[in-house]
Amino acid sequence: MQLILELRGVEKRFGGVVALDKAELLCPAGKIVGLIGANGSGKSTMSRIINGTLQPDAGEFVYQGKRTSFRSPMEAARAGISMVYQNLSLVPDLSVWQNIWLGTEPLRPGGFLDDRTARARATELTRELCGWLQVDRPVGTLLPAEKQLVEIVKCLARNPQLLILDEPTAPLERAHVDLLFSLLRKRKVAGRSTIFISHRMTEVTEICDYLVVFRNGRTAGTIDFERENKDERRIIELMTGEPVEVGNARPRTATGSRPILEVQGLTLPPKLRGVSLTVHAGEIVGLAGLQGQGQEELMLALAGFRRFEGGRLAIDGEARELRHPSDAIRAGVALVPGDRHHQGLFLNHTVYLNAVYCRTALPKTPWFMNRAGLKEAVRRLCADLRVKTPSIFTPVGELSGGNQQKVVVANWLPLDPKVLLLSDPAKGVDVQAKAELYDLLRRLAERGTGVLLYASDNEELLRACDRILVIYEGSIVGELANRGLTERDIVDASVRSEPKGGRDLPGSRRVNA
Amino acid sequence: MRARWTQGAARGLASLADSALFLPLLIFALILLVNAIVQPGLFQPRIVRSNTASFAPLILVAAGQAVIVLSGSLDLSVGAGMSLINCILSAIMTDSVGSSALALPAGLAAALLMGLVNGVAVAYLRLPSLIATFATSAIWFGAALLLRPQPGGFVTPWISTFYYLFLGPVALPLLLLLAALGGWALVRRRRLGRYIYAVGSNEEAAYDSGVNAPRVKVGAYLLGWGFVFLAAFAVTAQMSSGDAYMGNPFTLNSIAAVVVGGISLAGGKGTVLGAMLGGATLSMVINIIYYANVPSVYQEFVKGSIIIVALALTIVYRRRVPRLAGTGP
Repeated sequence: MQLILELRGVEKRFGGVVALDKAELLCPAGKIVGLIGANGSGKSTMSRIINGTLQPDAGEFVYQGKRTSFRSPMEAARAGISMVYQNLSLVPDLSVWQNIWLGTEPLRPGGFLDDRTARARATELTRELCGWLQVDRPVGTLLPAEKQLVEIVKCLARNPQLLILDEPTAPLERAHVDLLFSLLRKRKVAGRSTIFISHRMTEVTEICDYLVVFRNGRTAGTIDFERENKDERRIIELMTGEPVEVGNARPRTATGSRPILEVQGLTLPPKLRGVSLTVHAGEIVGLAGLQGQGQEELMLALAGFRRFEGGRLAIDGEARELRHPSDAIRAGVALVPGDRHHQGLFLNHTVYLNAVYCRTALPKTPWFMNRAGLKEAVRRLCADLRVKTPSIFTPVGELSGGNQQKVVVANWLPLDPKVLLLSDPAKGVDVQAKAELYDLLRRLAERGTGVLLYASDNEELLRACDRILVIYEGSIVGELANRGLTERDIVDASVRSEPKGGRDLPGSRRVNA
Repeated sequence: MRARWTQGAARGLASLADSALFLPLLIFALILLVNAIVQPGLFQPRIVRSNTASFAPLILVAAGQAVIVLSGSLDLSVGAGMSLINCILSAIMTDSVGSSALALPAGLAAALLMGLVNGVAVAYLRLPSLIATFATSAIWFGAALLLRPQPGGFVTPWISTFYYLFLGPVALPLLLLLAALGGWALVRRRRLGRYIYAVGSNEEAAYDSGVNAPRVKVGAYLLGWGFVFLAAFAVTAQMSSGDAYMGNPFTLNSIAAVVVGGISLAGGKGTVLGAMLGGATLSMVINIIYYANVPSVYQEFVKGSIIIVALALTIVYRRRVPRLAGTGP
């Protein structure tokens, strides 16, 4: 088997975070190679190394039999590599046809742009995949799916030796996925190679000849579909590793207690399409799903940062309309945001000041605050939560990640929230602090708070939650009681909830109860 | 037949209203109207010529600023740069023709060098253009002061003569403007022109597409400073002497002209022609204040009010017409 691309022992670090740890990726020439793995397993990092937007810290990079390494996408493009980026590489103010040729404009003698040819050829190229698009429209005015199609056409127009597609199907309907697949098969006939990255199991097994599974920045295994079975169970096993032991999950039945957060058909295009869920007092509910299915938007909407266009919301039995974050705070909803550096904390302000800011949102804030009393309260809180800080007058930015996150949570406690929303709170937090954080959530729940927790790591959900909801393309498609649950069940529910044929209406999908 | 004609006219109007030039043209026409009222004989050839001559520096420096803003940067040092070029020209030029032959290339070289320094600082050192060019503006100004601590000096009279020389209806300032427009038209039809828009609109996407974004940014600065040189040349011809303080007002006026001309300060949107119209509009505002006999204490007040209204119109209109807004509503 002839290889067009060989990557061995690739390492890549971002600060202290290891994104790739001796990863390996071998691509047979003229085949479609699938690359699959959980969130953060290093797929995108690997693809960015191949196309030169990132440089590896170590490892061997052989392309077309020659040792190379690309220092920029320009170099990779010259070598015949083109990539459909996960977050696209389109320029909003240029038109569709200008974007399609960006970087490879056809020229007339004398170095002048040959716009007539470019436009005509672009019209031709879009015909197959998105013929209804006017090529003169600025890309900024297109819908997400249309942008995705333009990005794909743009890369196909370069007719690259090696095409990398990083999650190209996420915003696409099934019909377009089929069209894309037929184009990829044509490439195969022409002897061109393709790397296809996707979260969707069915797509990967349908189109790929060869599958590489990444886990935690390493290559967990490869499957040659031409010789071996397309066994989805085995793929999921490779993705998640050994089934995780559910040690300290403490499932509770909260059905007896009163619902504290009720959401009905919450809609906020384009990300949320009719989310319905209930959290009971004293319950920790997890939110699972693939990356970017609307988790963060849901949290922001529930905290009053986004006004939703449809749906109802009740907190502790009382219908609420949230026009502003302060409405949510007054209704008893607190959010621990995902990006704590930008949204959760004033990093260069002290622990004390950070604790004070939240209180100003309360309806009855006195004009003058009792400084001595506040200081004492903040000190007590820090001691309670075991926040490790030299003093409450230390800037929050000087604390470790875990302690910073505890400060974010601590800030909300005096407000006695009825509902606590957490958006990936353990991101970049070490194991010890993680455990303490989840202990804290449990204690809060025992005091009657309803907790809704989104975590990108399924293992965390298993440890912390009573019940896990699976979100997919902006609606809840599954509910799993955390009794004897394994990580595999969650991945299963997240990956398999994918619609068959066209765009389904929310609710018409299988619900794993 | 008639229906088709009205349909065509309606479509033409609609596409005009959609065009990025619509508002700059409208504001230009409005100001031109006011100017014609307060300044009798505005359209007499003599007055057209003298106005073109006095408007040319701001129009040219607006074109330079426009190219830089379109690429997603900003340049706060164009005014100080004009001063420095002006002082260099006045320092080298004497009565001899040879000195002019030396001075003009020296001035152009200085302009390109300043553009290069700003461009490298912004594109390769990745300094924020606002601060970087604010800092370099102090350097250019300092250098200009060194060359000419007091206003004065001597510039070959032929420049001034030439500047106000008319070949029938055509005067040199008009030729300078046409040269700038023509130069930009050439660049716009090449990759650099397309890439200036691309990088200004979304630098990362352009880079990911295989555009050498840093080089494009430096290219935008160099081209912009080519126009700044023309502006400095025009100003020198007007004043016939050197003055280190001469360029100061041009910096912020050029940015205002660019925005009134329909260019987004975020980059990637607008036209250089619009910016030049904006430069003409601002120059006329100053004209109007002069001819309307606005008491001098109110002049700045009136000027500021007119500019803020023009700005508000431009920005609000762009928000209303999503097609111009690029990223949609």
